[in-house]
Amino acid sequence: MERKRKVRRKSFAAREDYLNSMNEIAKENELSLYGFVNQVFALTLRANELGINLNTLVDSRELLKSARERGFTLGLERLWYEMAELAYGKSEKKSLKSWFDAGVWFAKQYVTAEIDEPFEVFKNDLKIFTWNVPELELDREEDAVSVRVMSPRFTDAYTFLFTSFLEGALEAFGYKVGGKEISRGIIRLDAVRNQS
Amino acid sequence: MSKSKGRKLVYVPDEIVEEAKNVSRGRGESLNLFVSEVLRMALIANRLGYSPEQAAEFLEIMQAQRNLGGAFVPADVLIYLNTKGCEGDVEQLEKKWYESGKWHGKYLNEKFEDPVHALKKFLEATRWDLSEVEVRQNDCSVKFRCISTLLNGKATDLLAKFIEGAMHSMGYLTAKCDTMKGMILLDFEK
Repeated sequence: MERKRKVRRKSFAAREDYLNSMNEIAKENELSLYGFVNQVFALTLRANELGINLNTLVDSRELLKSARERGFTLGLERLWYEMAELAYGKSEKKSLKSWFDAGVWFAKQYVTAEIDEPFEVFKNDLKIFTWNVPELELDREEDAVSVRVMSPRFTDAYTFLFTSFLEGALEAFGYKVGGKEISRGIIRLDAVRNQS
Repeated sequence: MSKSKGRKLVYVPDEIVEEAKNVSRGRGESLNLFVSEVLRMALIANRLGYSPEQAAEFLEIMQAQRNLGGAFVPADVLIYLNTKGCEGDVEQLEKKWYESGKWHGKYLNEKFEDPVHALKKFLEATRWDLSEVEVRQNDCSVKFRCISTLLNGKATDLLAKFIEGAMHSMGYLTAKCDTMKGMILLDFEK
């Protein structure tokens, strides 16, 4: 009679509470603990091959949830740029206003929320939502804010529109932009607290 | 890891252990720490409502989205761009969405074993303005049904163009396209 080929196994010591919880999940899914743990390891290793780890799962899910709550839509950068070019070419003024208003709306969520350091939270979220922008710095010192953005992929129109978005956001925080230096993919803004 | 926690033995096939050793070594972690981290994350994934398979799928889609050049745009701006901003340039706008879909589809076709399923997952994960994405697939035909209570008429048409573009680069032809505000019904054939 042909003998069944045995799978060689090794054992690890792992936290009991983790394994107990996994055992429960395995049961719910009609799997043995061994089968479930194998599945988890196989998928982790596959994810590792793709250069991602499971921590990213939590981060990505949080990111999407937060973006949805904050009124953002995820899509392809190139499409956004092309559409922005089209709209900006048709009406600069209306397009700039649309981005400015979006900036005000975005920032107002932080201004009006009962949170400590709303500007810092806004700054962190903005950095997260602009993951496609290689450099985005917002520095606040007393009554002044300086913004520096560098993104080689920005088109001319998108640079102006994104500037307008930032101006709207700064205005919502009570800052007025005084100095501006803009060229394709590069934005420098200096704003001071509005005294009025 | 707390020393006060009890420990138990868990069995894993030899080949996985060897691979896990390589990965943990590459990360400069001990094998025990790696094992512990894997189990902890699996439990978090489960709490978030993902099976290990679904978690891996979601991660692959998100990674693809980053590789493709995913970017966030304020929803109000998108509404403006889709409607007033590009008013009078409907054809050009549709072409842009179609081309973007084609590019997307080409990438999914290269990267995923089942690109149609990946497209569905991509829509589910990133288009939170869709309340339902249904895909029925057999050997040579695919039916898409997307429902949204948030999309206006123009945005619905543009999303349909995007899906058509993606499906065309996967080798499908449009057999039927029926869109109305918040509803996309698309049939494709090989």
